[in-house]
Amino acid sequence: MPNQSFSVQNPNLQVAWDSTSLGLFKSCPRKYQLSIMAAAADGEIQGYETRRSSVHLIFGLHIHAAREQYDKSKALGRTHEEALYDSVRLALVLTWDHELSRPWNSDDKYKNRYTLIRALVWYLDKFADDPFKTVILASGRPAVELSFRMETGYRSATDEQFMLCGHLDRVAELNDITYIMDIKTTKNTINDDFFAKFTPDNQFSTYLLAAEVVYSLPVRALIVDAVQVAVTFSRFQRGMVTRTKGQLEEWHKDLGLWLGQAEQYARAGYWPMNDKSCNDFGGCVFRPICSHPPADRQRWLETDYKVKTWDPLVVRGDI
Amino acid sequence: MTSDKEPAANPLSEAAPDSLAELFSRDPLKLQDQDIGKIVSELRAERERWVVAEASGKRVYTNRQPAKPDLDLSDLEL
Repeated sequence: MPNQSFSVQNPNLQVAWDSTSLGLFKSCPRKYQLSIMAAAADGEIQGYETRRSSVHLIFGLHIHAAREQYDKSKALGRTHEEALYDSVRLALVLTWDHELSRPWNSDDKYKNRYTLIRALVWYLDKFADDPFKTVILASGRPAVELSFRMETGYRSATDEQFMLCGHLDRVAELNDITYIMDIKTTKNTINDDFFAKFTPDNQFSTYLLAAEVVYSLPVRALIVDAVQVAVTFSRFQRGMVTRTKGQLEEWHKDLGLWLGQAEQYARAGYWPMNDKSCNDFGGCVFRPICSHPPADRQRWLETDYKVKTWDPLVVRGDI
Repeated sequence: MTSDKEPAANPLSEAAPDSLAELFSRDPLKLQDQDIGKIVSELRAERERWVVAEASGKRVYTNRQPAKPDLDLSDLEL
């Protein structure tokens, strides 16, 4: 199936953007190109990723999936205990290598199979009587992993509408006010600095703009459940991330300029390297590639990385 | 209660060597509800121990590495 997120007129131009691809582009256009489209061939638009997935990514995906299972079970009328069991069972299954008949081996003393299950049980028990109630959609399904897509109001030179899309973890209500809920895991102590880093933040601004436009939420707020995962315990803290109308307008204005830049690079078929971000967050996964002479890079990519498709328009849950 | 010994490299060996480690080593598709219940119970008990220890100010294991002592050149006995 063709990657629907790209222009039909210029296959270099992404027209449906999610916070991941936009974040990559803002961080480094070259990193974006390598991740999203550098492996394009025969009409398939694909990028590269490291052969070994990040333990942080795997841990985060599993805890989100397990939390989602809990909400789905609760929506089916199951008790906290039953929903917790469903959630734990899913987490155990997700962290089991069925081919090799052995557990997921993370090599990380903080984020591994055991700390995942422990964090999950402690977290769900702590919020068993959560005042934030997951919204139940008209379909009867809980509002979890909710896919959204919206027009940005910006059009390409080829007259295609740029879209913003993605998935909201969970939508919940408290006192008739709707909030977006998200979980973030960290091995560090949770303090004010932890929550401060989400303002400004590309991902949460995307979510809050989408919530306003797609769901007409009355409050521009996102609740972050921070999960500290240590070797022998987990600790939780809930924080609120807000955006004013002015902040969202500013973010949207900047988005137009970023999209214009993306179109410029797509037309040129060239995405420059931002060599000031190579060492961010422990080092870019493509730094080994960019450190080779340009003529050698493709060979190294094909040897050391694997191909992946990133299509933000693929729907996960409800839309 | 939390003991004062150093945390083991494998938290499973501390938590409940007989039950948890064995349950975690099994194919999860073959686990019964009662097995999941045992895992949940063990982890809840662990949480209770940790909450009590933290509230009482007793030593609670954290992921912090002990700070390295300042090194004086005289310590090197050069």
